[in-house]
Amino acid sequence: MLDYEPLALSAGPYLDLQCDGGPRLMGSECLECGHRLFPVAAVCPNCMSDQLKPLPLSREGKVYSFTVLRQAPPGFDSPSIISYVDLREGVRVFTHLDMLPHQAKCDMVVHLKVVDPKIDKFGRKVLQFKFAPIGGAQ
Amino acid sequence: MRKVSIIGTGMMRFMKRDTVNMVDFAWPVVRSAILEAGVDPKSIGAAYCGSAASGSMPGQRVLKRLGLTGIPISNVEGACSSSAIALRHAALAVATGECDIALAFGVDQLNLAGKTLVHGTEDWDFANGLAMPGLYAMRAQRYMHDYGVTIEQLTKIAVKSKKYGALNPWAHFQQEVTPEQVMNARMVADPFTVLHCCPRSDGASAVVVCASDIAHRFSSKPVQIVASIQRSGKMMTGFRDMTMPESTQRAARELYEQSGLGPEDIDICEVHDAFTVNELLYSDALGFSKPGEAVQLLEDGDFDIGGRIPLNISGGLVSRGHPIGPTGIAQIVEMTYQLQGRGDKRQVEGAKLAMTHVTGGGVAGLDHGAVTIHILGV
Repeated sequence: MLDYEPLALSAGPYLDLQCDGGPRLMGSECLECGHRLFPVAAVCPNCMSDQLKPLPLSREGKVYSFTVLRQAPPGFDSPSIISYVDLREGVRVFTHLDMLPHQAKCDMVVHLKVVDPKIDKFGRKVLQFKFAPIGGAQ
Repeated sequence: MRKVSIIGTGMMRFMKRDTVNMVDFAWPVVRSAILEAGVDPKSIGAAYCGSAASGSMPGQRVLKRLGLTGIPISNVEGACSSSAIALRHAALAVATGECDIALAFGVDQLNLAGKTLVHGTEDWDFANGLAMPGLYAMRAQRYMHDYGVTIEQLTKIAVKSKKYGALNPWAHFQQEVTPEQVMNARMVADPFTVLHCCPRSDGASAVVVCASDIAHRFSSKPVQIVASIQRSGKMMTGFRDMTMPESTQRAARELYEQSGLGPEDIDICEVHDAFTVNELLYSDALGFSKPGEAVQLLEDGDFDIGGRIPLNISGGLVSRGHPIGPTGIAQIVEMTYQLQGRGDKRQVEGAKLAMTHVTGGGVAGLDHGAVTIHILGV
């Protein structure tokens, strides 16, 4: 039977809640070629090596782009502000922004925020985190 | 490899068709392509069906109605690129000598299925709430941010699309709209209102191809497949430039290199405009404009009839509709009409070389799962 929890099946949790200094996202770094990615992975999509180490990721990132989805997919809040956020380690994360629609801008600085997750149709916890502006929603 | 030509086309109006089974609206389209080609159905050596939301073996389900069975029937799934890939493989079957005549068609019925694309449950982006309009809206936001393009300019693309859709009897939407109607329509994903987005359509499309050296037996004006390419997007986990779709840019460069042609040689083009901003993204990626400069072609009327590179004169996906599976061959049929002088009110005079471009999917890490580009010529 498939275990759908967490979403990154075989490679461990993508969110470290016990980390000193607060929760952080976990990616992977390939020990063979140095390729980095999010979420954690069991195999490197650059060189196919299965030798990867966990890569703790920055809590701060920059909005590459965003949109306000007025009709979000089933199970998600409408509207949802969805975004790609770039982290210092060189990885891009699909996420939601925890702010008001008019606040969202390309290149704005945002930080990781753990939120109450959604439960998808497989019973998996999804959307366990968002990114929020410095100073919060206003 | 042998040269391959298109000798028959079949098309129908894309629209909501949820009161009959798709097989019932698809077989007449396939039959009309075969009748137009004038080939003996028994001489068709292979068939390829492009479909993304019709379950197992839609090709067999449609072709059995016509008794076109016993031959190899391959069902091709490549999201929005499905039937363009089907055509490519039909052409390859002829080019390699596997058969002399082959059939390619596309079919889907999204409104009965009640859905559009189905994404992998393991896909991070889609599992966490991404939807296709959102993906393209994020491309639009970044394109506007990087190049200073305005919502008024994107609106002009919607107005242009509806203007030409109104000239196309096959189009889902055949009514012109004003900029105010576009701006004031229901917002879907900023900056797109619903009039920036392709509708969920149902339909079918078909072509018959044969070896070019026998094409004149069947057609007084066969259209040659001058060049064809299919690629997948590259898996990238870092800071992709979402204003430059890498798979389209890479495929176009390879296609130009293979064919000895360049973007300046193309007279007319259909690009994958599932959303308005795509005309800008893909004009840049196909080399009709430098990065960020497509909006100038739009403003100068170069994407219109009479302009430098008339773009989506069928109304494109935004107006003709987007049933997914049949979309790629619908573009091929439209460009065949143009090259044969059958464009009616939307005819572009003197078109000799036409391009079709269609991407496919929604897979996290790839700009697109698939991209297929064809150059057709007379």
